[in-house]
Amino acid sequence: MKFEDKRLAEIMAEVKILTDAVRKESDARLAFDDDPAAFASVMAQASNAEEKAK
Amino acid sequence: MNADLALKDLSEIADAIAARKVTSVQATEACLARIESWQPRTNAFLRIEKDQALSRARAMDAEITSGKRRSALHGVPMAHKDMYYREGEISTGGSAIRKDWRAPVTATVLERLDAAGVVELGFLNMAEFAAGPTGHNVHYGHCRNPWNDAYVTGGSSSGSGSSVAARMVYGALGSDTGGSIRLPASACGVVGMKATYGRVSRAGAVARSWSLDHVGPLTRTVRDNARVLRVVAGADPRDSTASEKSVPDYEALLEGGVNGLRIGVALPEGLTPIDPQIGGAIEAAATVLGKLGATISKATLPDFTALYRAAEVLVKCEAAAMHRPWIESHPERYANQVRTRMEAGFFIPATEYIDALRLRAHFAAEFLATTLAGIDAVLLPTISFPLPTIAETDVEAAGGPATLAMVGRFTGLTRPFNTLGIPVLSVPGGFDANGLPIGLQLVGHSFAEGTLYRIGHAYQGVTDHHRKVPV
Repeated sequence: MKFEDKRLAEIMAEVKILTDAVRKESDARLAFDDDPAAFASVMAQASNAEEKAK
Repeated sequence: MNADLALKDLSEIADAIAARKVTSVQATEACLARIESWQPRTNAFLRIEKDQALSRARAMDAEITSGKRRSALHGVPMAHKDMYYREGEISTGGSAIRKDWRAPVTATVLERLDAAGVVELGFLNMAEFAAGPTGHNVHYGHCRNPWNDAYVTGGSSSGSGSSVAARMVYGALGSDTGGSIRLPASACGVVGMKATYGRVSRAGAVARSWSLDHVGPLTRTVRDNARVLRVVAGADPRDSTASEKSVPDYEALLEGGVNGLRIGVALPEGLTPIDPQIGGAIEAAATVLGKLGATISKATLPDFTALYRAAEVLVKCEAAAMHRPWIESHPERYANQVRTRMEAGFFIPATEYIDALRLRAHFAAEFLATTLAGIDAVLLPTISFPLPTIAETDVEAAGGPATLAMVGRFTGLTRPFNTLGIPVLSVPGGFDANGLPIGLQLVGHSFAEGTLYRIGHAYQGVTDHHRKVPV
């Protein structure tokens, strides 16, 4: 896959914005044991807790 | 007589069919007549299956005559975004690449609607591969807003919003990766539900981003929406992300009212400043809900920029992975604005992609523990500015950064909730100075779709925005 210089520069600028944003949040929040699959558990647990409270 | 039938709500027509006051054939003919007059103005349909629909309607009527009613949707005509597979049938995904491609399987949601007795009128226009928030489609023609055909429909479920608003169908399925159900619902003045991630199976639906895709209905009323969601939601062995949680009878919960519910109002000034017309509609809706007995407070939202960027990383990387063979071999077959949005995905490191996935649990837990702590729902705009025209938002020639800016403007208040995975209902909330619809988002706790429907139904009980019909 090849890109013209101008387009490649645009893409790399976009990549920098996105990766910088994710790194900033990762540095602030993530620990060694954080699992990508934890998201589904958070959804289910939050729902169960709310149902129990009602 | 038949033309009037098309103006009825999905629930009304379904109940009338069950009571044998109306036949499914009559309802189908009413929709087909409506399609004949509105399709040239909206381009909402990619394919209209007239003969198949009438044949199916006759079969559903025969079942009713014999005493069989499959479900609360028996005999109701619907149509869906052209990204839900039906075995052996063409499924374009709004793309040129799949113009003649035939699906090898049937989507779980279509199987469920089939089993429920729904009549399928055809397949609806959409943004190419569900990538685009306006309704532009360079391959099949742009979808147009029935309130004014110079204006955008919202996307990517453009045909779903347009066809429901123009009363061509009683309801439609859309999909939402960054706002693609809620944006057309808002722009066309209909109800759209992005349920909790995992509430509805994605099996047999074209993926935009496996991590962020949500399937859901667009309808004229909240009651209609609740009825459709109950049928399509639920566990599915074909989709490992589909939740095993039982599906409530959402319609039975509608009459609970909002007395005692706590609703936080938010007018965020993050990625997209709120236009005063839109802010005014939100404040008016909050006043209405307060008068109905809800406790209204001010909600504090997190940094939407972080949630937005995380979603961007996920969707770009996943889309780049699935489209790579076609982008390498036939890049010219994509619209410029669709292809250029994926290109960054080839350069984002895997570590950042994985961290974006890992961050979702933190973002969701924090949102539930802070913004939603002590309240049942957040009320905020769906689109933060009055609708623009199709011409004003045409970025096909410019591509690249112009596309990103346009997409960011439209999805600034919707995409963060795809990262969070929690349910969001978009409800008609009035009209702007140009006569185009304004949408309200109601954001709730995970799997609390019933609460959002309850609020939306109470709101629709004392407002008439959803009763207005394009002429």
